Amino acid sequence: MLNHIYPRFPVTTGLVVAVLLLLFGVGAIASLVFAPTSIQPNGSADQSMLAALAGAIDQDRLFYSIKSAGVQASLSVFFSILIAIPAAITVSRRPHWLMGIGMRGLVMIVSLAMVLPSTVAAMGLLAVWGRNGVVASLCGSLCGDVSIYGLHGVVLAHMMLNVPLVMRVMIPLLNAVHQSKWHHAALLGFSAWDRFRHIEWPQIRSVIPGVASLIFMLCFTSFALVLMLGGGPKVTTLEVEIYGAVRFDFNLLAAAGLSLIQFGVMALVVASFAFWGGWHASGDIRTLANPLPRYDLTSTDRVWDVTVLAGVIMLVALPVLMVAIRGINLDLITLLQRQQFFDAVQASFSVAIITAVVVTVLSLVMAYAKASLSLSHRHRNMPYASLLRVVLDQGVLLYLVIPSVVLGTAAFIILRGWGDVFGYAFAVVVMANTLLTLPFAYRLLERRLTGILAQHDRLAVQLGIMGAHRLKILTLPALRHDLGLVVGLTAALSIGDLGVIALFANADFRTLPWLLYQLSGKYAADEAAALAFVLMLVTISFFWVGRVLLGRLLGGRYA
Amino acid sequence: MLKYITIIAMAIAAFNPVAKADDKPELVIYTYDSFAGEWGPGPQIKAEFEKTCNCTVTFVGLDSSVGILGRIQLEGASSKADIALGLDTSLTSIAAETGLFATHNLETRGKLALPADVGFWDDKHFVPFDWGYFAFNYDTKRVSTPPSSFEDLLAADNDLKIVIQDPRTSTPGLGLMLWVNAVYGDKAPEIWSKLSPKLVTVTKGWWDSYSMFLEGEADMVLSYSTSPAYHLIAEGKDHYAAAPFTDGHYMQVEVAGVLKSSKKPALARLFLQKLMEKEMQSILPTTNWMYPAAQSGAVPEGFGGLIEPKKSYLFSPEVVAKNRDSWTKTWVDGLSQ
Repeated sequence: MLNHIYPRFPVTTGLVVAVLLLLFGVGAIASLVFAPTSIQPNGSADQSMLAALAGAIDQDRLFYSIKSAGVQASLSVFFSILIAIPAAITVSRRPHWLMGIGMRGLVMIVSLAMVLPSTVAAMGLLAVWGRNGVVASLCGSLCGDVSIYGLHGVVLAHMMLNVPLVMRVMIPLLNAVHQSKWHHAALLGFSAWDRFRHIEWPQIRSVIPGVASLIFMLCFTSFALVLMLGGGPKVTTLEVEIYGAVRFDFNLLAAAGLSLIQFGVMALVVASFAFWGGWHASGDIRTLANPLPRYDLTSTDRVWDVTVLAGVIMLVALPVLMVAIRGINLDLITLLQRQQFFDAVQASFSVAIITAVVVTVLSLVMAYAKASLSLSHRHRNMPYASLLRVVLDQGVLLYLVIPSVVLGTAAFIILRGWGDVFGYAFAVVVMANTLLTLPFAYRLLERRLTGILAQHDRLAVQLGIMGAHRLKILTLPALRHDLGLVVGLTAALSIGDLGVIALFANADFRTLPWLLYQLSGKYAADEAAALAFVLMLVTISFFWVGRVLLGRLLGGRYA
Repeated sequence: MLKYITIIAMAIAAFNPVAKADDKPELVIYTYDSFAGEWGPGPQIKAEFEKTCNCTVTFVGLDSSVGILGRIQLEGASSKADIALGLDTSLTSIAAETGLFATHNLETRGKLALPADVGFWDDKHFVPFDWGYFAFNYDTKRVSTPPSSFEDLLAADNDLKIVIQDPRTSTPGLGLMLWVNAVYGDKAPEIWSKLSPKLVTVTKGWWDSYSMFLEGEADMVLSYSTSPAYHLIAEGKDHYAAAPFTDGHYMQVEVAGVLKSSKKPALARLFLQKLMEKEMQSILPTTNWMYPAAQSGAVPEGFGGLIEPKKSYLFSPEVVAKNRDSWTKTWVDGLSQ
């Protein structure tokens, strides 16, 4: 009835953006399929498109890589969640351990691991589990010849990056359990297992399908870590095969076909996880509340908690610390004197800042449209509203499964006709990073914005608070934590990205991860370690500054 | 709102590409990154050529040798490169088929110093600049009895950790693949699956694996018979060695070629000509650590102690072009078991 009061402008803008994104994604794949025959010597004109696509793909290898990626991703999901559950329980009930500061420090290091560039993570893992790593030197010949390369190395790396993610989703939920429940549990003589079964598990289980689906997707499409730690063609993913098709075999048709198959497989996976329990991946991962001390814990619990903490430190914190320890060396000075280093810092900062701004604006626009279409008092009853919501969702989710090498190659092919391709390097890298981080940003904002609009939409309209004014004094302040997270996350993720830059790096434009990649293949191992440390610091500060600064900036008078 | 605009403006200002003001012609050479890098021949070659050419030489170091070809194919006629340097004879036929390379028009007859197995050099598109034998290298301090044949290598304990390169990205990796096919023919798949448990990892480029070997992450690395000369001459270390295989060794001849799309073909050909002459040929042995390909080049003293294979292999470019895909598939499948 009141539909006319609510402007259609946000919905229209959001949809335009979504449609453009969809067209762009489809166009990227199409440009590989229809790449000029001059650079596609194998393609013949008289074949139908599907036949050509099928012919370009080695089917045995395709099934092998789906199987390999599937097994790897399942193991990664299983072990990440298996470790994260006790870890989250321990961290949430022992906030005062290690004098409180130590525990907060640990939580901080753990959350850093989430945004760590994969090259840096791999270096940290090697420093711990490599043949000359901490573990090998501590236990000497006792442990035999430990090697980090292979399926277990990839799974370990994925655990290092994903256990923190699961922990951050679960800890606030565990902190929200009412104090009296623990008290009653102790009075009833609950064992640790009973406590888990009746209190902790029901509290956290709702998020499991969501995080499992997200982790599965991230690991199934994993690329840099698999290339670095997989140890050869035995461990692979479709993403790696797509990269290989482009970079090794120069078979663009196969790359396009494999991208489509990856898209199909991911759609199936997302659908089946959605069937299991819906998408709750974003959850509420804001500042951790500080719960009251617990008095119901026994000495057995203490032993258990110490063990779990040691495990988490070993798995997540130690590699991060090792990057710092190995990085602080004399070559740090050599590195800081290199012009290349400063050029790379400048390039990376520009990419990160501009990407963060663009992603924030785009995701806000699309999230606003989605929220408007989801709320019954707004446009929910509009014809085709549900279809439009799907368009919005798919517009961004597409980019969770389009490999960055496909985006990069498509840009390369399209831009070839327009002069010097490398002149566009900066724009292309920003574009790719924008598209690849947009899904996370959109998911984070969309749920939150729906909640906020549901809360104050009607009142605001009745009071006549509209347009930009409303955005400034109501919506943005209410969203500030989430926007801060989006900015921090996007900046951190795009500063560490090593996807598209691999195609576009050149003497005039290279980023920090690219410089690290170049240095780590040289005799300059110490300098590479120093750079990894710097890159880690930069990533962390972007993550932190984005969150804190934006939170302050958007504080508003009424927040 | 002004705040945000300021932030965005600052961000844009931060990225501000510096325009290159240089009136000399620029010769762009795509190569693999160890050639272009600080420790490779790149800087010396650049200085040598710039003495006389009145031009600027720019080496673009790509992540691997096969990557040079991929990049050139991707860029097609709009490529910035004038010269591709660092392909080898296993790729010349494939590279020539792309139609992106021009003929070199240089007289090579009577100037080359390649081993007899290479035969008469009649490639119209590429000129050779150095050559060597592939070999497994080891540290004599860590490995006391190195394998002396493939059979030995495969029979060794699985504790012997080896690192090799991917034949799809790196010419040494490709070299090993051809070596095994040359020695074992149809039995190659078996060899790969037997080799698999001994591999620490497979790297994209030669440098990645060689630095892993130096850092102790592997006991043996696929490299060149000339690599120990580096440690001897440049570092004074004599404990690195190449293991001589009774099966014989596969050879590599590295080549350079001019691109059709080059706007400075005369300058590019002049570079190739200079590359064959004494000054540049004498730079290569102690920077790229390979044997010089022209008679004008001198082999330094430290090369005297290197292994000299009694038997060597080299497939013709056409044989490689015909079999590369199926042999690569065998390699991938063999290592995936």
